[in-house]
Formats: sequence, structure tokens, C-alpha cells
Amino acid sequence: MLYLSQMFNKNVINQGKTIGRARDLVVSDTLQDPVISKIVVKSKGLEFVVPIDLMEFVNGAWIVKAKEINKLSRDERDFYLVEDLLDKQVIDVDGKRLVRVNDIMLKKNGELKIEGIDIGFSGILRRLNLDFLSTNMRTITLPWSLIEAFDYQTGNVQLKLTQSKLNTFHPAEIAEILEEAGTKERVGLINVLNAKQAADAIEEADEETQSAILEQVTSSRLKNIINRMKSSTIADIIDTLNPFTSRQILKNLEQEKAKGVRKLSFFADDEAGGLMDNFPYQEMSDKTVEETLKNFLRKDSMPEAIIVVDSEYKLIGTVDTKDLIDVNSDTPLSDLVNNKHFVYEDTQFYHILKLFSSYNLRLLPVVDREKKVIGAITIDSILAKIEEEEEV
Amino acid sequence: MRFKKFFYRFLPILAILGPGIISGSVDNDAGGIATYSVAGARFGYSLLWVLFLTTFALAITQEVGARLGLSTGKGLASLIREKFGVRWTTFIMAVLLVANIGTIAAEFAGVAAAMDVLHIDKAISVIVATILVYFVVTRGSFKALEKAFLILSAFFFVYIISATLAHPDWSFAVKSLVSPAFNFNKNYIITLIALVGTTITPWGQFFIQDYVVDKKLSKEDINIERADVFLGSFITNFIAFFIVVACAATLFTHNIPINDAKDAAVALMPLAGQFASILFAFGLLNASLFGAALVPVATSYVVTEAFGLESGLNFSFKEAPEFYGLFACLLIIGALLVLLPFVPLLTILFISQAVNAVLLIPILTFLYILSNDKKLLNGQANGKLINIILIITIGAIIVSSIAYGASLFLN
Repeated sequence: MLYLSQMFNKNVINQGKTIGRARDLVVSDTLQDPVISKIVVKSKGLEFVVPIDLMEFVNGAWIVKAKEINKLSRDERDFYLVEDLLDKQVIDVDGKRLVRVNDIMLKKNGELKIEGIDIGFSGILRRLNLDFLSTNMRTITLPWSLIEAFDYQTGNVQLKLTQSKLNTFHPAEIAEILEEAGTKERVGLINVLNAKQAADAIEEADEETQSAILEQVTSSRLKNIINRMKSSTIADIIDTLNPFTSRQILKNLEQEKAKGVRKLSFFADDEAGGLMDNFPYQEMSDKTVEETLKNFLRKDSMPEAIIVVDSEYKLIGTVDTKDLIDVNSDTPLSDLVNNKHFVYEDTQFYHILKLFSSYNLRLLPVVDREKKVIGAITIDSILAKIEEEEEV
Repeated sequence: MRFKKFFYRFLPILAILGPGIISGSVDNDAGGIATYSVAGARFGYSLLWVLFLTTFALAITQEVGARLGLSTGKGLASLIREKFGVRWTTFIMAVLLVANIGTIAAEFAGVAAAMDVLHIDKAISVIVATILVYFVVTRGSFKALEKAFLILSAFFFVYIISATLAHPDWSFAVKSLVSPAFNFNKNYIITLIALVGTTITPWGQFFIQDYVVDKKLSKEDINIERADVFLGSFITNFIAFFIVVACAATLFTHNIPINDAKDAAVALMPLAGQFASILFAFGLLNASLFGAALVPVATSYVVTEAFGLESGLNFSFKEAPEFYGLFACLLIIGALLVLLPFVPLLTILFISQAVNAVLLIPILTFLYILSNDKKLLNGQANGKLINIILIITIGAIIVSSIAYGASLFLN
């Protein structure tokens, strides 16, 4: 096994004379075939790039084989191992976390090819020429196919597969990476996700990260993302964003949603009004199970419970979605209502929490004084609120 | 909660305010109180000009740190690692470890000096403090500690009152602020160096940047963050000014020697009379204990992070053994240095600050290079004025260190 640390910053020798040092190894195609194609040489203060076919690595030095050195200039589309990968953070696709690259493993099999990265402490010791201390140490490595590196110029993720492996991540796992990454990498990661994935991941991140992302993405991206986020999440952070971003958001949200966000942002976040989402899924009490299920097919996601209202949109109660499964398809929803709890918009968190835990609720309607439904609190919002309190 | 939201809406500054002021207040720790007291007691007003200049140097170094954090979202150690590799990182971490072990020893010396006023032996006070700090940090809530500290640091205002009651020569004191006087005496020079090292600190440089990164402040917050670090720097040295004046007007004017940390309590006599020692002990204990908790945690965090090891109080001991191990080691080494016989507490308090100043040279050099990297900072690289102040700061520390070396031979 060869290591990058043993191959860069080494002398370049031409016809017995040292002409400079190898500063970096270059990969042109990181996606399919991570083969080293060029070497960056620094000679008398000047940097130039040499195709690897002209060189050979022998006894800790790069020997120039060719008579004539064919000097190329830097190509910004290339991937530079020392500059873009060594000592940087990459995404460990398997462990679903950020790791730092301590060394890079290469393999010579005709061509010189990247095998993987070393993320263990022994990699650090090797770089310090203290390998002898690491004899009993376990090396921790990751194969090249299981990492996603960032482009350190733009922060963009260098996706190695057309269908990103990031799809296998749960939004909460992406959120954790977003929380830890640097500014450029954070925006770069958001940019490779589709709008739905991005919105879901942002929902799961802490409020500071949410604000940081919304303040930094481009305005076209912002529009796509915020319209897929919950109004209550946006309402929670809109006042902490800088005024320019807040205005951008309110301007770019669909009209109804913007109204909702404005309204929700005036509620304290330990009252029902601050915890609820507006526009919950509601059905009239005379709808049958069959009609309700048909309506579901048109939605992206299925709510855990349905709010049942009368013809004047006043609350009757809720029906758990799972109860729709084994009943006669022409049963009206009014016969299935099994829960009649509700709260007003100024009900305190403590009381709401009690209702949720005593009655094992998944969803709790919020009504105005006329009992018209104005929103609903989900178990997710409750858990998020508890988590937030824990952190303070 | 409604209250908090209300304030965020109208005063967004409150959402961000903090890191600069916290880092500034922590600067007035045990080493700080001791150094300012020594400066005032031994040299009267004649070192005040240094304080005036370090206010700008502190404001600028903190601003640069905050800007690096805001712009990249990365701490100083990460940036050094990514830009300069493992070897330079190891070097800087070694520098930071030496500086911080000195600082930690100074914090424990502060605890020992404070408890000495109550006639408690340093062996007992330091061991109890070490255990207390370990458990409060690993089991307790750091946020609560931070709040308690900030409230208790109001203690420093007693120096303002005491200085006033001592009837110092105000016009002379203010004039001294802007009239540099260099004295080629080794004690004068080392005090000057310690003054710089206690105001601008290696760990403070890492702290401000990590704090900004943790809070996920972004480029748009730069102006508010600037106000925060400038205000923090001003408050730090505003209080330092009164400590120096209070000591100058009491100890220096009456020729009272300062041989022991607790002698510095005399500066509070005009205000507290016979209770001066108790008041001094209380203030010193608060500052020292907080420093003793914060500096080792911050150090372990930075060092483990730089080498890609799990770091942070969110992990358990099993998940992050290096982090907790280093934290415990730093506490123990710091405490042991104080327990060494024949080393006066005042010496530890004072010399550690001078060592800090010398170790700033490499750290500020890296800060200078990084903050001039246009690619990294994306349009937020240093301006000319900031570069000039940084270079003068680094240069001044180098020159005074050389001057100190020369004075040892020539005097």
C-alpha cells in the first residue's frame, strides 16, 4: 500500500539533478476511475503540471523518464489531492457523518489509483514520521467509493455516482452533517440535494443552522426550499434572520403560506399558536372512508390523523388514519371520531404536553373561540420542542 | 419566550451579542488581575500607555478571528489544518498546549491565592478546586456556569469605585495613557510583555472563532459581531485601567511592595476598608474558577478537533476518551504546577502571562496569513489598516521579547 504522505513534497530528479519538488497529485476523472494523471511540480518558485507517464516514483523520489518535460498549466476542473482532499472533511457515506482525511491510500497496478482514505490517528503519526508509535494501532480507512468529497473552491460535493448516495441518508443524518460543516460545504451540500430533500434536512437541523442556510442559499434555491418547509419552522426563525432574507422569504412564499408564517411568528413558541402548523388536513364529517382514502392518493404524505369538521368548519374530533383500514368503506367519518381533544392558540406548552402523553395523541387540533380549526400540533413539533428545551 | 422574541424583533443585536464580550470578560482572569495589579503597584501609571495600545490590538485580533469564523464557518485549528497540513497543526497545537497549561496553572494559582486570604492551605484548595471543576464541567451545565460567571464578573466594578475613592491623579493617569515611556529595565519590560499576553491570549484567539462558528453566525452578521468584539475589548481594558489605577494610587504611592498575590487586595481598601481582602478573594476566586473550567475544556476541544478525534461535552467518556483524557490531564498538570513547593503564586500568575505573549507570535502569524487569503475569505480579507495593526502587534511582541533578553545581559 502506498500513501500520499510518502509521495508528495518529494524531490523530482531529472538526469541525476534535483530540479524541484512534487507538490500535488492530480486526478482528472474522480467519478468513474480515480487514476492519478498528472503531478504538480514546483521548481525554482514556479509551479507547473507534468503528465504522470513521464515520471516514475523510485526510492522516495520522482524520477523524470522522458527527455523533454512537457509542461502543462493548471486545469481548474481537475481534482488536486493535497489541495482538495488531504486534511479536509469528507462525507463518510457508510457511517453517514463528516470525517477528516489524515492520509490518502494509493495503489500501483500499472496505473497509480486512489484506493481510499485513512481517517485514523495512525495516519497522523505517519505524516509526522512517527510511524513507529502506531505499530499496535488499528488503522481506520474508508474505500474511495464510500466517501463524497467537497470541491474546496466552491464547496460543492463531488458526486461520484449519477444517482447520489446521499439519497440513502435520512434527513436527520444530513441535518447533522449540515450542522458540522463549514459555510461553503454547507451550501454546497444543500445545492446537490433536490428541493424536497433539502427542505426535509433543514427542518431537522437546529435553528442556528436553519438560519445560516436560508441566509446563504441563492434566491432561486431559497424559493424552492422554503415552499416545501413547514410554516411553523419558518415562523420560528424568521425573526432571527437578517431583515433582507426575511423579506425575501415572505415575498417568495406562496401567498397563503406567507400569511400563515406571518401569523404564526407572532405567537410565542411555548403556546399552541407557536407550535402548530396551519392548513392541517381536514375532512367533512359526512365523507365516507372510501372518499377520504381517494383524497389521500393526491397527497405526497399521509397525515397520522384526520381532523373531522362539520359543515360550518367547526371541529368535531379526529380519526386516526390507521382506523380507516379495517372498516366498511362507506362508513362516514363522523362514526369513527375517537378523539375530541383540542386546544386554543394561547394554551401553554405544559398543558399540551400533558394531553399528548395522557391520551397518546399524534395530532392535536388548535381552534379559535368559535371552534373553527386554525391549525394542528403534531407529535413531531412536540418532540422538537422538548429537544430544544433540553439543550438550553 | 415571548419576551425574547420581542427583543429579537426589535434589537437583532441581542441575538448575536456575546462572544466578544464573554471572551473579553474572561481575559480579566486570575492572570489578568495579578498582572494589572503588579503593573500598577510597581510602576504606577507608567505602563498605562501599553494598555491603551493593546485595546486596539485586542479589538483587531478578535475582529479578525470573528471574521474568519463568520466567513468560513470553521475554527482556527481547522483552517490551519486544511491550509498548512498536519505538521504545522501539530506545532501550533504544541504552542497552544504550553500557553494554556500556563494559563490553567495561573487560574489555580488564583484559586490558591484567594483561599489563602481565608487561611486555607493551597494543597487543599487546589485539589478541591480541581475535582470540583472536573465534575461541574463533565456533569453539570456549562451554560448555567457561563451565566453565573457573567453576573459575578460585575465584581470588577468595585475596582472603579475603589480607584475613585483612592483619589488618584486623574489628569496624570489619562496623560499616561497616551504618552509612551520605555524603560530599559528587565522588570519593566517583562511586565510590559505580561500586560500584552494577558490581554491578547492564544486561547482567546481560538475561543472567539469557535464561538462564532458554533453560533453559526454568517457574513450578514459581521457588523453586529464587530460591535460586539469592539465593545468587549473596550470593556476589558476599561476595567484593566481601573485596576492599574487603583493599585497605583494605593500600593505604588505609599511604596507598599507587592510580593504576594493577596497583597493586591490593598487596592480595594479605599472602598472596603478591612473587608478588602475578603472582597478581593471573592472576585479572584470567581474569575479563577471560571477560567479553570473554561480554558481546559476549550483546549481539549481545539486539540482533539484539529486531529479529527471525537470532541465535545455531548459525547460520553467512552465515545471521546481523548477529549476527556486531555481535559483531565490539563487540569492535573495545571494544578500540580501550583502545588510545586518554592514557586510563589504570584510568579506563576505573572510569568504565565508573559509566556502567553511570546507564544502569540506564531499564532498571530498564522492568523495574519489566513486572514489575507482572498480565496478563503471570499471578499472579506483584511484591509490595509488591519494588516498594519496586526504587523505592529506581532513586531512589538518580538521587539520587546528581544529587549527583555538583552536587558538580562546588560543590567
